[in-house]
Amino acid sequence: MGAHSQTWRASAGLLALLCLCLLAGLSLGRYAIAPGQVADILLSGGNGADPVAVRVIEAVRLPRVLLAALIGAGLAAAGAALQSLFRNPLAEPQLLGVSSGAAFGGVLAMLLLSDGPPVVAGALIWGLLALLAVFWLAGSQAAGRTSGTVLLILAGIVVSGVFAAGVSLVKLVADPQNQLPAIVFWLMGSLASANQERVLLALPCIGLSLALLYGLRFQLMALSLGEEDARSLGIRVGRARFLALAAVGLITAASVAVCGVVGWVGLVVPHLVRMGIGTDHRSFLVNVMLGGAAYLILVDTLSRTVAEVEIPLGVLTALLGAPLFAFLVRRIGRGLEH
Amino acid sequence: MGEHKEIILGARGLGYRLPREQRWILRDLSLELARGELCAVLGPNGVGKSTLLRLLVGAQTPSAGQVEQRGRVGYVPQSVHPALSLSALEMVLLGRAGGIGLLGAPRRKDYAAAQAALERVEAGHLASRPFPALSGGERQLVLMARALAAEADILVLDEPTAALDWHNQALLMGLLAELAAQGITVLVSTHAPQHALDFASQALLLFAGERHAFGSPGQVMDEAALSDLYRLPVCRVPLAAVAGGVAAIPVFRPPINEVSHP
Repeated sequence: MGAHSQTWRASAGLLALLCLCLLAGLSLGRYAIAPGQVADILLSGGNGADPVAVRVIEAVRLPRVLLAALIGAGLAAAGAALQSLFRNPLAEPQLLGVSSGAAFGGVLAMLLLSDGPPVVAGALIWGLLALLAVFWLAGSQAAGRTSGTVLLILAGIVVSGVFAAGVSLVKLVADPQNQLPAIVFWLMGSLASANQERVLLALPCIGLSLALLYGLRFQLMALSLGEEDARSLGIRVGRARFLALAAVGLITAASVAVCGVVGWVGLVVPHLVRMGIGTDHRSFLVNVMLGGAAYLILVDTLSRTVAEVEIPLGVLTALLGAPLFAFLVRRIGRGLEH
Repeated sequence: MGEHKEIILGARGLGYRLPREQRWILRDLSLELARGELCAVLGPNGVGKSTLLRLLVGAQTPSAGQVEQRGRVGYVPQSVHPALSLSALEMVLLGRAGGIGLLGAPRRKDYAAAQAALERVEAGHLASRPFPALSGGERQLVLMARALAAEADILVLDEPTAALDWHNQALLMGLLAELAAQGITVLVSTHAPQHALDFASQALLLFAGERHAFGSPGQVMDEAALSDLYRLPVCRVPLAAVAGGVAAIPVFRPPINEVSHP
């Protein structure tokens, strides 16, 4: 199986790229640390190294790049899964409404409680409530009927709309001096407040979901043929779809909880992998995860190094993602013409 | 028929209509197929052939009546439109889904079975090609291979020869006859009555969603029945010179609106 070993070779290449990005993310910044020194600190625990550098790496940059890697891998895989489930190459995690729900939970916590842990908890809880709302709205029909996909997308649009209105309402009543700027900034997405606790919160949520999506890779390929065909092949459509959506929802809610709303990753990365490497279902999701992790570390590193002030991550993923996607769309368009 | 035979694929009083619509697409349809039978479903466009097939494989839920299946079913739809790219081999692998768990993945033997199925329809060379980039006929062969890979006891095929050239039509229908001889029950819809006459042990003639005739092709597919079905004069001629049997030949020449409708 030559083609097979080829796609795994690409995975090895992506892993190397991810390591490079990690190293770059750890060494670049206002307080530059040479890559050699970074490796030294990571491997030896910082014995005899510059104590400031050790502190910067361990307390600031390491949690930040790890969180970027987790969220990048998560959002990219979630996007790839939704594209299969919804049979639509334009699907991305925000489509499900979970992102809006989590955003609402976050800003509500900011309004009523305080910044920090309450926001994380609020976003996670409301994100998952939004997911339940989508399942409930789509109804039991979504489990078995041919129109399940359409119902789920419609439910996602409804939930998304309601929570987006909720976010606007919170902004309206927030104190324009202190709260509103914080809310607006948080909504733009940022990894600036990354710390060990957030990594430890995101790790099980996103890690488990990624493992589940990887396990479902064959079912996801079957579902991309449509519900009717998948069912005739003996796929238990309702169950597979429920598990995949639960994983996507958990990834999305956890991401918004720890870093605000970051878009475009789930759209751009799977397409980059499809174009650049291929779609062999055995390695595709792994490649998407590795690619997503590397991509978000890279963008986050850019966000804190290209300008005097940090550019919010969500702004930069959109700023980079949109033109990149426009380029991909042109190539997809050409591919569709035959 | 007095003797007792084991029914492998059956339907009783099967009916289907779209929700909130009065018109029945399919109505009160019964049939019984024993092990190793090859049944051809014939009928003009839009009489409910595909609906019948989808009901029989469980891809759609009947509005009335029941389906009876004994064994695993392999289904070849008219066409499949993947939203995302996958290779021909992966498409065939999906035929193995019935034996792969929710979190499972195909193993080496599944790959071997998929490749073997592709070879059997003379399409082994297509394995690594992207399915959406294949021609219509190649796609039909790949979908046939997918059903073979399922190692099903029952095969249901929706116009599998529609996009095939004569060679591949003979290949595919010959393959179906061979599978039937091995004990697999086959139900195939077609617009080529000749396929039924040459290969089938049963013929089901559908008209306006109802069973028009059901029985051995030699008996039920007489000139009158075929002319009725297709609203066109059809004559049967003996084929003694070549292979024995008969050929059903449609008479296309007189303008269709000059033919008196039965």
